[in-house]
Amino acid sequence: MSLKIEKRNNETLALIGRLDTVTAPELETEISAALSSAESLVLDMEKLDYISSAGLRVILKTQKVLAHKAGLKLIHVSNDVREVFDITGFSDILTIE
Amino acid sequence: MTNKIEKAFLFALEVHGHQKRKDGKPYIVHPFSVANVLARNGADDDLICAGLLHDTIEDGGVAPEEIVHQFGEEVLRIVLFDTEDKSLSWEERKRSTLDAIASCDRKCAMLVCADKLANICDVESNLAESGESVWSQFQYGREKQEWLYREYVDRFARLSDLKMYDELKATVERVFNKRRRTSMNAKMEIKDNMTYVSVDGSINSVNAQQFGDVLAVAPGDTEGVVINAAELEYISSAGLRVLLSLKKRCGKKIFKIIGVSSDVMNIFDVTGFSEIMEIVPAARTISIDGCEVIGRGACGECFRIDDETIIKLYYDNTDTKFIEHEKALAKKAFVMGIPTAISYDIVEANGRKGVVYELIKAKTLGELMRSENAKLDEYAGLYVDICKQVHSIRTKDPEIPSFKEANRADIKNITGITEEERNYLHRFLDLVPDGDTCLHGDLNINNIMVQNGECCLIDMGELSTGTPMFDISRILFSMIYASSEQEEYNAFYKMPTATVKEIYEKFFRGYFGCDTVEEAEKTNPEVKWLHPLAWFRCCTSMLKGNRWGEEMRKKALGLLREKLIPFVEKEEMLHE
Repeated sequence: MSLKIEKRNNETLALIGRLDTVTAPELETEISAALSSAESLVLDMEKLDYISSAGLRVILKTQKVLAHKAGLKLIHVSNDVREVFDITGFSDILTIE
Repeated sequence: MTNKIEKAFLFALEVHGHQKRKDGKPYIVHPFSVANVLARNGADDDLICAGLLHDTIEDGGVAPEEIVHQFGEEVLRIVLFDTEDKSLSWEERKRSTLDAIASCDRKCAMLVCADKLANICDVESNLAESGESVWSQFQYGREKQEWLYREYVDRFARLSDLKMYDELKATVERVFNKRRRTSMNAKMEIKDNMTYVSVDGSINSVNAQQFGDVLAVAPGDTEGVVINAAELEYISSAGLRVLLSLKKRCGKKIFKIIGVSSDVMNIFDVTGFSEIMEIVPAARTISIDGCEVIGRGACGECFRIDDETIIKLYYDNTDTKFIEHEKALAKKAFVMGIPTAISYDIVEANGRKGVVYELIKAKTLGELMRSENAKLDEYAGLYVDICKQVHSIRTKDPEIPSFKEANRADIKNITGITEEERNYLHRFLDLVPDGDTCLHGDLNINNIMVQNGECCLIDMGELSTGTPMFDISRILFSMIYASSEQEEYNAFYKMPTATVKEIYEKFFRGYFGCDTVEEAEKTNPEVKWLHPLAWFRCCTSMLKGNRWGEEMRKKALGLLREKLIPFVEKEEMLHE
């Protein structure tokens, strides 16, 4: 019931587990650390099982920061998380591959 | 694409290029869809190659040695598994395949599953095109096929973690459970200068022309076309073409398809139509039987659906536009960065409309303040922070109303005042400074949830823009003006009146950095509007009917006549 963040390379973070109120601050810290050296960011969501509003907010915040840079990309989004993006209409705002 | 897959594709194309399927379509479409299904379900290169090549031996006469030579042992092994011995009878063949599926390895099972999925999908689209006559293509008719496919679904249960299994199961259900209509009915009418079309049944190559004829004169002089597809079960490419040409005729006019079922939505998604036209899916229907009621409000009730979601179910007479507006505002608030619950979709339950929201597992700031009096300072600090966070957001989004406009409607609802007095209230709003600060509209402590020390706001229906003094004046109104001076207990906040006053004072100090309006005005001239806005709020809420009782009506009338009207006159003079 927690989140593991794996740094794949300079600009790719893989998220494993649940992104909720408890774990969202951890991701926020990791992202701001990554953004000090990178112009763009890729989040690998293959093993992300759940995302709550707190998690979605971190993603949106990152999206806003990177809108002026090279951008944020979400890859391998699992069906469950994809459903959250689709139903909430966030798929239109985010770059999902 | 790796070289091997490319090679397998070209190989299959060479073998099947001139062949046709039972239904007359080019043969190559089939191995290609099988490979496609496999690729979407995480297959490796060998398995994808086997998908492309799986019929080259059985139907293409290719020698097994050829496959080994070009693609290796593993690919051949998988292909051979899905190759039937045509010297056996139909039933023997099928039985031996079914037995083999139960014990084979995962890759072989995936190939057969993808193969059957592609086949049953073809059956489904042919059924919609030509109806039940499709079954005559099979040597063994509908009943035998039904038995066979239900057996497959059973045997493939071990692949239930894969999407293709779910698709196989759902498609088999659809094909054998309902005998779809192959006819179509379409009607067109013009109402309020808009063309409304309703269509049901299946639109296929046989009746697409008839559908086109119904729509031929649309949109004409009307503002656009709205197609109600709630009863539409299937639409083929011929039908899609009719929609496309209508969309072109509409140009920049409105063109919208509403109430689309999930089956038809699938077709729009796969063909990419959902990206080029406005398509609104039908509201999901959910059950609230046995769900716990967690709140009742002015316009609806909240039920807890499961651990992660709630539904706000509106009362029967609620206008759909109002629901859509409230949901749209909730989403806008979220996107702008206001911490609030995720709003999911608009759904139906018990014949009523509702919106599904994320469940926030937390206590309200009000509950915390009530139960932990010693931590009042800390909670007042959170209160200030969340208000400042909302007020740090600026927006010029035209879809978010200004609070002035939203309040003009309330002025109309006031009863028991003269028209001249009503006019003063409008003149008051004219004088209030404009602004593009984001306002929540009702920042009372019962609308703020606290999880892990962080605030999350609920109830976004009154989101607006304007001067932040409006939001603060609502707090001032509900904490100070809305209680009667004699009462020691505040029923709205469920705590002693003195505690509520204390919270307001702490909040004021935290938000403005000083203790009085006079001091705050020195650094922020808009503070001058704080109390007048609270008087205004007293008028719009307490003078609407007699819900608040006679005493409160008198109080509000006093504020209007002795404070607000003189204030308006003074300000108007200053402005001249």
